[in-house]
Amino acid sequence: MTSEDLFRRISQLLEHAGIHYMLTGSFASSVYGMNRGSADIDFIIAADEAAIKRLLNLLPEKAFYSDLNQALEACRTNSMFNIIDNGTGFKIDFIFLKSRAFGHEEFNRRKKATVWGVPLYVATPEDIVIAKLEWAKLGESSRQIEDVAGILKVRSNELDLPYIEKWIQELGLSSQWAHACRLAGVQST
Amino acid sequence: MPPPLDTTPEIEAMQIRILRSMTIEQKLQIAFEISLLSRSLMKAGVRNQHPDWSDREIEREVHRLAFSPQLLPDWVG
Repeated sequence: MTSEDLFRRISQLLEHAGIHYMLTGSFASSVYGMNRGSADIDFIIAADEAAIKRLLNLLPEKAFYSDLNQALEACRTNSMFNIIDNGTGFKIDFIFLKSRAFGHEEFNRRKKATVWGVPLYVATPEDIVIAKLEWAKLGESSRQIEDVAGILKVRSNELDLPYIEKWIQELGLSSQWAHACRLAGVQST
Repeated sequence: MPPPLDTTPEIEAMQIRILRSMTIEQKLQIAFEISLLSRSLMKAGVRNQHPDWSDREIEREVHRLAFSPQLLPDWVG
């Protein structure tokens, strides 16, 4: 399966299941910053149990591994579940939208792109920066900070810095932000 | 933090110019291909370490290394 096949298929499955979503994580940061590989493709989704059942029913059984019970449990606990593309081994993480202010704001700000002729909703670069700083604060790998630095290097002139700074204050991410700015060679505020 | 030791500022600027000129499709494709390459290198490493393993066993080990330290269910590989 090629990248085109996989992204087209996932986009169409989510659309047909009536699930609002956005691409986030390292694939989304590759859209705006430096490219890097990952074993996961992450999507944030807004879905109820009926929509999850529709999605998993639409998945071609041979092409993907999925577990309906695990997915429904994740829906009830507002956590996440995975499917695996059997052809490439890619794990696709579906993370349920969190009911907190930043979660809703980043979801509402997502951008619709068209890739290989199908729509793909992608988190904005500002929201990827904030989300990755949060992961870094939670002790995730240094790759999170490197991804933020990559976005700063490639997109520094286009970012809505007041928006980023508002959430840095709100979520207590100043030291992670300063670290990413130092790595990118840009001045932090 | 010091600047990267393996990239001169001129090369980095050139790399950034190229990245900025790429379409979303191109960027997703590159990230996808880097990921596949890293997976096939991992597979080659496992095969080298365990030349007697079947394709299925190698696939399972690659899944385990990529995602989880736990034992995987039977469907994998």
